[in-house]
Amino acid sequence: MVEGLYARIAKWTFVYPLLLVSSVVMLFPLAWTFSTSLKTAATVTLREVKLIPDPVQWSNYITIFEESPLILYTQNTMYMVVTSVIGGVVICALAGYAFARIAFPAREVLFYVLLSTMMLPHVVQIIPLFVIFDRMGLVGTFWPLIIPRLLGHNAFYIFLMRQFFRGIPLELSDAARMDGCTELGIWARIIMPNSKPVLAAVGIFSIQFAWNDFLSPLIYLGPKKELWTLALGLNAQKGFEGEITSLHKMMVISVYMIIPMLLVFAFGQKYMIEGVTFSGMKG
Amino acid sequence: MLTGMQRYLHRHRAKWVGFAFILPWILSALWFDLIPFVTNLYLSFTDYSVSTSTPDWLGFENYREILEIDPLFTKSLGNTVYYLVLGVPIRLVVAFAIAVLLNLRIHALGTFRTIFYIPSVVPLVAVSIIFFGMFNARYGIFNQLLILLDLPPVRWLTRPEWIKPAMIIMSTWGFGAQMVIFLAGLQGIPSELYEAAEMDGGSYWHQLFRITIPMVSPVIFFNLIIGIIGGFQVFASAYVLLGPGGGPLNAGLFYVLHIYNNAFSYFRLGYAAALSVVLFLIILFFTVIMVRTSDRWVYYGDT
Amino acid sequence: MARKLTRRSFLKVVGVSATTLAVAACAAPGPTAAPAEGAPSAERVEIEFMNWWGAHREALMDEAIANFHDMNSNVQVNNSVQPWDGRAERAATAVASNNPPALIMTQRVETYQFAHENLILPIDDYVQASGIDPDAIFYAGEINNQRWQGQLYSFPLPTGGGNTGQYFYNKTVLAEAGLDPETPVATWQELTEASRAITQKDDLGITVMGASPGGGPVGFGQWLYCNAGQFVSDDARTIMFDSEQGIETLEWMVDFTNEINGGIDNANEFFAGTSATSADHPYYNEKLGFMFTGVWQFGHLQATDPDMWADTSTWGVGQMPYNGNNADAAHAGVAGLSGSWGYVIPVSTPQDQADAAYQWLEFFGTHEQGGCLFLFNQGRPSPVAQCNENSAYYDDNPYWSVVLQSLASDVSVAVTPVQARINDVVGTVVDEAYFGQHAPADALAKGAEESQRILDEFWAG
Repeated sequence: MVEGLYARIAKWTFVYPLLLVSSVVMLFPLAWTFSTSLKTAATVTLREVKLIPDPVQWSNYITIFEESPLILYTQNTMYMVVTSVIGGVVICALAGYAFARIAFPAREVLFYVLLSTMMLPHVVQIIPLFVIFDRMGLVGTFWPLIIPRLLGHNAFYIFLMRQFFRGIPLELSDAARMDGCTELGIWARIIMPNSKPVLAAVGIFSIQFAWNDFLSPLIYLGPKKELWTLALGLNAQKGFEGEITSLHKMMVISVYMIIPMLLVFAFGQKYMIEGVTFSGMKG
Repeated sequence: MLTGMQRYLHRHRAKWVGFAFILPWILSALWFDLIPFVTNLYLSFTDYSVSTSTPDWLGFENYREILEIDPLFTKSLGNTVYYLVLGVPIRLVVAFAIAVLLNLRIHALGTFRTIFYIPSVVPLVAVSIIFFGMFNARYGIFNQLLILLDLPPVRWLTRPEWIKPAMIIMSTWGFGAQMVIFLAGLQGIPSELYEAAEMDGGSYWHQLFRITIPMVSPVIFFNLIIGIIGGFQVFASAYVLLGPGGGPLNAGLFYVLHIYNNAFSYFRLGYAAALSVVLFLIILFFTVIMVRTSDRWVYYGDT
Repeated sequence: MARKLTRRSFLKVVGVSATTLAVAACAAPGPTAAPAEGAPSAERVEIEFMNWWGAHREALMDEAIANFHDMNSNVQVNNSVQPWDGRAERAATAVASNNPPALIMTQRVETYQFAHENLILPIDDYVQASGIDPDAIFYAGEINNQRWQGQLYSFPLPTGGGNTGQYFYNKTVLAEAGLDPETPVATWQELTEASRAITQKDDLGITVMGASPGGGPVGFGQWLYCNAGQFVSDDARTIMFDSEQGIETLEWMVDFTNEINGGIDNANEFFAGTSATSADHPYYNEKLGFMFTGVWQFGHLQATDPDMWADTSTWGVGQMPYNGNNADAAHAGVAGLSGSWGYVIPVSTPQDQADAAYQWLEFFGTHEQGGCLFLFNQGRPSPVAQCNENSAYYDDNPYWSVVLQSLASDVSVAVTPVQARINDVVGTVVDEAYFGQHAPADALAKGAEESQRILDEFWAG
């Protein structure tokens, strides 16, 4: 694609300035979080936008490890992250493929069921689900958090992948079927390799949602501090009746939680732009 | 070529192969969706509190209270619809526009993408604190911006009429996830289509409306459905920013906050269940309409 | 006071002065006799003590637990401090569990809700077996906040009172406005005039504030009781806040706010983004004349602005202003309308754990080395009357006698398990009056009607 002069002018007069200005808006909260994490109890404030702290207290990043077992919390959080990714990019992808491409009885009805599982508010599910896990003796273990993830209990991912898989030209899978591929073979050899953008997206989401998930870990891991996740550790910095006594410490933990996710995204977004070309195919 | 026998086997096996693919999800749905759903459906006809004893059967009493007595039902539903009708399209358009911009051939693309995704990775506790500062009438940057533009400053979180716009601004800022989905969708458009259009001399806008939007329509459809389902259930961001009461005059009391208060502040879990069943039906109604009408504007590669 | 007084020096002080019933009653260490079936086992029993006291008070709590362990070798208390967010969900699921924590920290209304559903154990049998007399140990209002329909479910901690009976003022602000910093206001009328002299505004709102009466059920309730009004009848069956006194109270709040502060949004915006635990709060920055808050403020002041705390020529404490035009009105505080924390034992707790939980509860609730020490280290009073007589309090805090007066002026409101709903109704109608949607009298009438319906429904059910 050769870029015309007109397009180039548009880019430099419109696109770049717009992106730069919006970037400032997007970056401000991060900058604010980081700057607050370097403040002291006496200088921390929500009221004035003062991005350069005075004094700069780098030791916040050291002392937090003495006050809060962040390494342990990170390890625990990894259980959520790993199972979430497996469930998201494998189990949900299988289900998404079936909903997109395999004809089976009651598929339409089940698709509505899939969508409807997102419609009952979480707040009224907390107690029924808790009671089940409690009677199974699994409260205070990772299982209540891991089992749904490993079973691909996520209508959002399944629906998302269905939408993308349906966009892959039928000719590709038909050709594979001709070559004797089973549905599983088509899924593994045709669908998955041609779906890197959406798999990257689901991978990023599943890592990030598991990383930041708060309420379920609180309910199932709350009693066992040795099983706490980072999100619990962050929230534990809030005081009695929600009073915020150490905003700078909360922001230190926030930065600690943000950086790995930014790296994951920066890495994952490369796969998202891996263009899929179905050369010779009609659209 | 497939023989007749192979074709027969294929057809009948395929019937069950589909189930095999979704079996884990079916198990999880039976466990994590059906049980809570049936439980709530049953509880919605009772006066269940947190008690372990069997609750009393009330018939449709809870539903009658919702429709005839509860002033906060209409209030919270109205708040939610306001948020939904304005917030969902705005966020969708912003996410799509940024995704399209970030799909151009420009410098530092990866960096820009990452920057625009940042809001989505900041933990909610931190987000709420940050926005609390930004919405401050005297010190916050929103009002400083308004003053700079010679516009009157606004009481974002202390005047009832500004609560919902403030919530919409906060939720729009977190468009990262939708942007990612659009970006992924834009990659699926074969570049041959653009090349053909360019040879025909189509303008950029022509390409956008004739190629890009139809080709990503499955993804637009997805984001719209998810936006509606999620918009009806807006909760966590409102809870952290406004508290369970939803700010002055219940202006930010969204429907799920109302459910939450009944469930966990008043421990009226039977009533909360009835409220949630009503919400379920409302969302289901709109979703079915969306899915039914989607044939007219959503274009799939396999149809 | 943690800064100055270690546990050791505190104990020395207490050791000399404490010869009281409270101390005597729990001076004898060792296990309390369990009621009914089974003596406590000789094996070490481990219990989970689930609470929300927060990370920065964890060490103080651990200290009280260590003191308990020193005296009770057969019980191991695990201090399970939980994140504040999601507290209600966490408490509700814990109490529904088959394997619950032995003690759950709950607000008064939650205690009543759980008690009403038979989810928690009354502790009367334990108390009787132990031989202590809670009514002699605690302020009457405090211990009654933990009783529902004649049964006791917990000991109170911290005080359910002391939330509204006093105010903090900034002498520098008063002096700058030409007021006498040593004569704080006693009535609404004096408060209005003082605030008028102090308050300054610019285009964006208030820059220096005299006072804000506040909103919500507690904001309204605190002024109602300073106008000789009552929230609900003593039998908790008849709503009374829409009385003459109630209307007069809300009218004063609304008029004050509109006239002096330029509207409720103006007043709220002045505080937005700060809290009493952050150094940028107007009170610490000579921008707020009168701050209506609870006894926890002593600890906050000491931790947040130590210089101000140390210099008593800059701040003072007075008793809550009352309506000077009402001959029946006097200084008053309101207690038990919200908050009023206790610690409850779920019914499904195994017997040995429940016994151990009570042992810890009694120590924590009544012993000078338990809750008293925990609160003393935060500079706030104890619900155990005797602990507040500790002379170290007076040494550290020049306004200690005002604190005790305000505790004595507290009125405990009769509430039911549906009080959380009523509180939200009242919060809404107060808002409606503030925003001019209804006149105060109409707003209260509307709120009272709905509250009465909720109450009637409760008593009928």
